[in-house]
Amino acid sequence: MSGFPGTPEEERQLREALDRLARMRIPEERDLWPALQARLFTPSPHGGRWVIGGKWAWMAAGLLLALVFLGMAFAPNLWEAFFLTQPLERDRKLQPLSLTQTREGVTVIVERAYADANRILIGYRVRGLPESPGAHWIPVLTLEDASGRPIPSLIGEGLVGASEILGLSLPPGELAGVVGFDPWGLPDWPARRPEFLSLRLHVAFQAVPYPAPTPGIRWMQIHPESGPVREGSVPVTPHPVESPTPAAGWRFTFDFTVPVEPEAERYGPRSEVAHGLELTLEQWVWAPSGARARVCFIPPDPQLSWTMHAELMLEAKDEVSPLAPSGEITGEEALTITAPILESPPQQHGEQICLDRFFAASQLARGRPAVFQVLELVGWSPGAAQPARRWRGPWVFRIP
Amino acid sequence: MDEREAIERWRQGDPEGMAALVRWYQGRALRIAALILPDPMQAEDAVQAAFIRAWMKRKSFRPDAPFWPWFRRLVANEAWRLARREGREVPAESGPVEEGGPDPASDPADGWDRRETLEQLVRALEALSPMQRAVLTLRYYEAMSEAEIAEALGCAVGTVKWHLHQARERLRAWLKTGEER
Repeated sequence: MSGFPGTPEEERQLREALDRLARMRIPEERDLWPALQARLFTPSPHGGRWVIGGKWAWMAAGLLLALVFLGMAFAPNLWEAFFLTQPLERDRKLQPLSLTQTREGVTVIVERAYADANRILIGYRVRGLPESPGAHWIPVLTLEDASGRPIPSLIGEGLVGASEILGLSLPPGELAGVVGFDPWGLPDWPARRPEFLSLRLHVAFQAVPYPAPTPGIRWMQIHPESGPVREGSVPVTPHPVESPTPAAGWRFTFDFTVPVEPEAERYGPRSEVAHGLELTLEQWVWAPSGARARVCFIPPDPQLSWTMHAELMLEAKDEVSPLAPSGEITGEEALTITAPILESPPQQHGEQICLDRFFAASQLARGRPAVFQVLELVGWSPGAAQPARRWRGPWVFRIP
Repeated sequence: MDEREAIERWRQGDPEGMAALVRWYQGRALRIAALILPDPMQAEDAVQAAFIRAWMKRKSFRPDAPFWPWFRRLVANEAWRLARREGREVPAESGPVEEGGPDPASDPADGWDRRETLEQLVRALEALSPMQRAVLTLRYYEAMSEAEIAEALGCAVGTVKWHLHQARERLRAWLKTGEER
């Protein structure tokens, strides 16, 4: 006999059974609007989660501040909640540290450290910060190697107050975060990596007005009791005229050594040509912290600044990845992670320009065929009104 | 406010347009999510996440398109994403259909009436894997095509066909066991 349902009557029975099951599980009418309204339109003046990336990672410009809300309980492990450290903490690859220093009432604890071919991560917690109405205290972390060479920061993630998304809550005056640093600036990296890295971490603080003035994002209503408002119809929260100044003693320095995770797969160089333009995938490196591509090319117009649109596709069959933050799923046989999580500024090497892209795909990608493709190159002139020049690809690289 | 006006206001960023759409479609969305996710709180999370994604993507929504077919895809995708995440802790192909069969405590003398069929079907549905329940829900509860289901769940049409086949076979086996008691 064929499967059930096999007849229109059986289809009707199945629909009825599905409806019965759904109503058993959700027995009463629920109104999601109040919760959605709070999440979408009412920033909390006390809670915040931040994700910061780019060259000026710890400056206010370019700050991406995702506001989240009070009311969640403590999560058992902070480092399993943060996006940057989650898979590594689960695999017990993060090095536990408990380096603690207290100055002028503020305590900084370096709790986790990690290094692999693509990234160095530092997980920290801060306690005892005083209340500063209208501003968040943001820690400024800088890292250098044993020779004093600075290692640039790439991305940061942190928490103040409470986050529904992370399921975490920190007491007043406490914050925690993770900063990712880029080891590729060190000599011979990633070809030659030491077994251990000796590092010096400096921690200072600056006040960032709340909410952060983020270009391109308009802030909406602030007072929850005023009810729903329309975008743009209420004034942006006034920022304090004077930001608080950190105490002179709030400067901390930690020296420690972290093992460098040996696991990494390298691929490249390999060149592809599209529409007459050659593009070289100089290096592709899979590492536990994620994948990184370095792409180099001679720009069609050296006067312009060039960037690229690239994506990583992984054979996914019937799986949907929790690592695709936007949830964008395209194609039937493959999962597309539509955007890299991070870009580094272009680097000039002779006539060539090199661009780096990072993908949060290492966990998902293990043992799967992958395709990295550059969809197009875009040249633009900063400050000029002329339209961008686009050079269409794709340049397709199959990663074995 | 009718749906067209609500959609227009929602697209322009008006919370009142969003509120209207939430109140019209939340019940239906919650039922779909609850069929994929057994935990009602997770079903709520999935629907909230879908509404938030809808808000973020509203500019790309075609103004003349109906809201529900577009939105239910987001709901199914969010629910399946959560089910997958939970799948780390629950065997993906859980379901004691072959081993258990219908509730042995039920009295065979009750006969094979419509009510029993319904109850057995409900129990059988609960025993299916999340993927099997998801494809059955979208195919028979929401009358979506196999291609639409594949798009919503981020998988191949062939995968949907396979899971539908498996789910229907398991349901038939379950009911057949009941008939033969």
